[in-house]
This record gives sequence, structure tokens and C-alpha cells, in this order.
Amino acid sequence: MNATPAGNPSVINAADAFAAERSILAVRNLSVRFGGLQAVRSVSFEVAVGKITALIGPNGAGKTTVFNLITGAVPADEGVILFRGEDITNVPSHGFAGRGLSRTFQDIRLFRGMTALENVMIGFQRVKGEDFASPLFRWRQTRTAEREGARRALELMEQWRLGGVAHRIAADLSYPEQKLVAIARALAAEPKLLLLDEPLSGLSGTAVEEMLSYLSRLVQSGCALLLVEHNIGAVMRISDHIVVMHLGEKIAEGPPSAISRHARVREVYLGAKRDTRS
Amino acid sequence: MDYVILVITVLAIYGIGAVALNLAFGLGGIFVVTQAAFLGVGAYAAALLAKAAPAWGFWPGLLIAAAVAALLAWVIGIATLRIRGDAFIVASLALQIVLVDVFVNLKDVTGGPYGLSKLPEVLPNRVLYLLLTVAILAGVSLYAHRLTRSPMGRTLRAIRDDDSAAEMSGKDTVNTRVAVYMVTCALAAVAGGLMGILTKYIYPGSFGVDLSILMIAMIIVGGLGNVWGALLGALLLGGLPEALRFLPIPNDNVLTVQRILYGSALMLVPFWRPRGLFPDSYGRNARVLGTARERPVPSDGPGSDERALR
Repeated sequence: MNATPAGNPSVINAADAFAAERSILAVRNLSVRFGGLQAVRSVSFEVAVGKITALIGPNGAGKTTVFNLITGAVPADEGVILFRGEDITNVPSHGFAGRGLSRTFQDIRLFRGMTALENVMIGFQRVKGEDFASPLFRWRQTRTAEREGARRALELMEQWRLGGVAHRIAADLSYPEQKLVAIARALAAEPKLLLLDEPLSGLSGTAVEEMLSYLSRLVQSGCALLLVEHNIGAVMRISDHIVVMHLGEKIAEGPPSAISRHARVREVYLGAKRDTRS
Repeated sequence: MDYVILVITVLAIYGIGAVALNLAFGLGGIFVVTQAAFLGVGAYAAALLAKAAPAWGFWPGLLIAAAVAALLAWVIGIATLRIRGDAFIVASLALQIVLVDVFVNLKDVTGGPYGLSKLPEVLPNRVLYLLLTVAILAGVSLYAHRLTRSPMGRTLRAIRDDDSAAEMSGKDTVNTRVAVYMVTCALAAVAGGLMGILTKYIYPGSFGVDLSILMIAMIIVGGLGNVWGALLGALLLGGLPEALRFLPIPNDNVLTVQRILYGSALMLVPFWRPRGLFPDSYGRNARVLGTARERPVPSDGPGSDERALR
């Protein structure tokens, strides 16, 4: 892949515009260095509209760092990130949800003191009355909008079979429930692309299957997914496209069938298998 | 009788300060140690205006006090509220001390360590003054109560619970924190302005860090994030010294006993009720959002088999 014109990375040429129609997210030559460690080195890949793309690699490959670079949690040293054709490299973290890009966290990060329902309601964008003047001047409208929002949030939660826990405090929920609430919170922003950081970790056999069927349904409804996941078997089954990273570099990408035969990937994974979990 | 009215008025002023502090501290999770200094900013602003233009009455003084405090809070906020956690507590404490130093050293304006005295009488009697203060307390409490239940209240609690998750949910956490800090400081300045008009004498010693800590104690004892908690905390801790007058304690020891009781309350209440006397329970009450169910239905979601195994 060619780098964007030097000196003015925000210029989007015709080829980019064409690519933007098929790919919702384009990462170009992304690099970041933490002190002496080159955590991510010149990584480029694209996420297709309406598809599941997986980012895999052994521990320390830089997968979560790529997520943090995309969402602005960590500033990139080099590289460009295009989301729906827009250069979002320097957009602050709070600018993503409104643009249609949401993420979940490996460590879930619910608002622990709030109910599950309130957690989901936080995900809504452009909420009526979310300011300091509404309690003074637009109280009735604010309350009406709130009840409507709570109803919508409950509807969303029922799709994820979370209706029964809506009014429980997030910290009291079971681990799988917390993971689902976190996804529901991200979905409340109506994302076009959802970044999932290890959606299957910590789930048991049946819960994994259920999560996979939820994710497939989600993609069918038009939301593209980019996931970081260690469960290689599941990744091979549900992904349309796989990007493999190792020690901060992209070593392969392609459909699952090609990745499973890829010599370098096999070497990295078989080598990694001895010292990490299978 | 005059004395009782005076005590109730002072308690109402504490109430305004505590309810205001509860917005930034209880809801927003910002450890604000500058509350007393901003009471002082308001007191000086209102007093100086009352001296310059006694004919204007008290409203312009209170409004200008709030505006000056909000502006100062904005400048301080954009500089310090990017810092999170413990570092902000240190910055906030430093600001409290610096502001009191300014009151002491800006002699031409503030009258230095002796403060401003012989402030003009803006209300004819104490009863009217009490009514004004209680009315403002009621208004501030109603506003705070609504804010707690509004989308902004929810956003503030989200920022308090997890900053980066709130940021990824599209919340501009830095600017929201600056804004709630401005509201808290502006309302603190109104309380300070009222205090200045009441006592007709203000000096830097009234706005020291001990008052900031007293107000923090009020909302921790009362319940963070709950307006009723802040009011009860102000009543209990503010009223404690007055209640002690009725006990047969020699005058010399009153202050000591007061401190022992006040320290015990601070230790015992969190032990007995960790979330304060009136915890922030908004959201657990399904009725307020109109989404109550007949009966809680156990989840049959993916978590159910895990729970069955526990």
C-alpha cells in the first residue's frame, strides 16, 4: 500500500475515496514508540463495511495498542487513520462515538456505581437536556426525553437479554452480564463500526457460542466489527478478514482459510503456544 | 430570638455551600478543597459592591459574586482539571491557600488581614434576611436535585466512575468537569456573599482550609451525590457547636469537645453507613424513569449458567 502524500496526510485522493466506499476504516503506516519499545511499527490495514475483521497475534503483539491508537487514547507517532473517508488521526477520544465509532474495553470499564440501564443511557449521543441549564429552563421536556431514552435503552437491553438486570447496579452483575452491558452501552451510540477488545475472554462454552451468534446478528444489522481476540478457533469461524500482528508488526492478512495455512503465522503461533495458553 | 434566627441563617448558608460542593465533589468526583476560598471570593465581591453602591441592594452583589467566581473557576479549571486523581487534590489545596493569601495581601482591595468592616445594611431586619437565605437555599437545592436526575447528572456520575469509558462514550470529560466546577464555585460565592451581608464584617480567617474541610465532611457524612444528604450534613455538622451549648461543658473545653464529636462523626458514619446517611440511590429506583417492572425478572441471559454454578 502506498503512503499518503507526504506533508499533507489529510488530503484524500480519488483512490482513497473509492476505498472509503468499501472500507469503513483505513489505518495507514501507524507507528508508536513507548520509550525504547517500538510497540507498533508501520501497521496498515482496512476494515470492510458490514464485515467482521479480527486482529490477532500472541501476547504483546500490539493489538490493544492499535485499538488505543485508533480511538485516540494513545497519540500515534506516525500514520493516518481514516474513518468513513475522514482523517480522524487527531480527533480527541470523545469525538468518536458521535462519528459512529464505538469501542469496548478488555477490562469492561462499566460505570460501576450506576445501574445497567444508566450505563446504556450514557451511550446515547446528542441527548436532550444534557447541559447545566435544562434543570432550570427545560425541566419538563428533559424529563419527557429521559423517559423516552430509558424506554429505548430498555428495548436495546432486551435484544441482548439484559432486561432483567436493567435496574441492578453494574458492579453487582456477573462477568458475562457486565460484558453484554458494555456492548449494549457501545451500541447505544448507534455505531457504524464497533471495536471489541476480547469479547470472548472469560466466557464459558455456551456463553461463547451465544456471544458469537450475537456478534453475527450485529454484523447482519449493518455494523462493521473489528475485534481483538485470543480464541483463535472462534476467530477463524466468524471473521471475514484477519490481520495478524507479531511484536508490533503486521505479518499477514487475509481470509481465515489463507491465514490458517500461512507459514509465518503458523510459526509464530506454534512458537508462542509453548509459553502461553493454547 | 435574634440569636436563633442568626444560627438558622448561618446553617442555611452552610447548606448552600454543601449542596453546591456536592455537585462537583459528590456527582462529578472532583475532590474540591477550594470551597471556602470561593465563599471568600463571593463575600469580598459582594461586600466591595455593597460598599461602592449601597443603594443597589443585595441582588447585584450576589450576581456579581457568582459571575466573578465562575470566571475564576473557569481559569483555574482549564489549567488544573486536566490533572486527574491525587495530583488535583494537591493543586486544589494549593489554590485554597493561595486565594486566602491573596485576601491577606491585596490590602488595598480586601483590607488585608483585618478584612472589611462596617459594611452597609442592605436589609432592614434579620427575619427578612433569614427568609432571603432560606429562599436561595431552596432554589439551589431544587436546582441541584434536578441536575442530579438530569442527563448531565448521569454524565457527571459516569465521569466520576470511569473517565476514559465516559470519554469513549462521547463525553467531553475535561470541559464537563470545568463546567461543574464553575457551577459549584458560583453557588459557593452566592453563599459567601450572603455571609458577608449578614455579618457586615469579613476577614480572611473565615475562609480558611478548615471551612473547606468542614464542608467536605458535611457531604461525606450526609451522602455524596444526594441533595438531602448535603442538607442533613450541613445541619448536623454546622449545628453541632450550637447543640453543645446546651450541654454542661465548661466554656474552655467547648472547642475540644466539639472537635472530638466532629472527628468521631467523620469516622463513625462512613463505618456505619459507607455511602453516607442519605446515599445516592438515583437510578436504583426504577419508578423515576418510568421503566419499573411488576416484579424483577431473573435474567436468562448468557450469565445465568455462571450464576447457577456459584
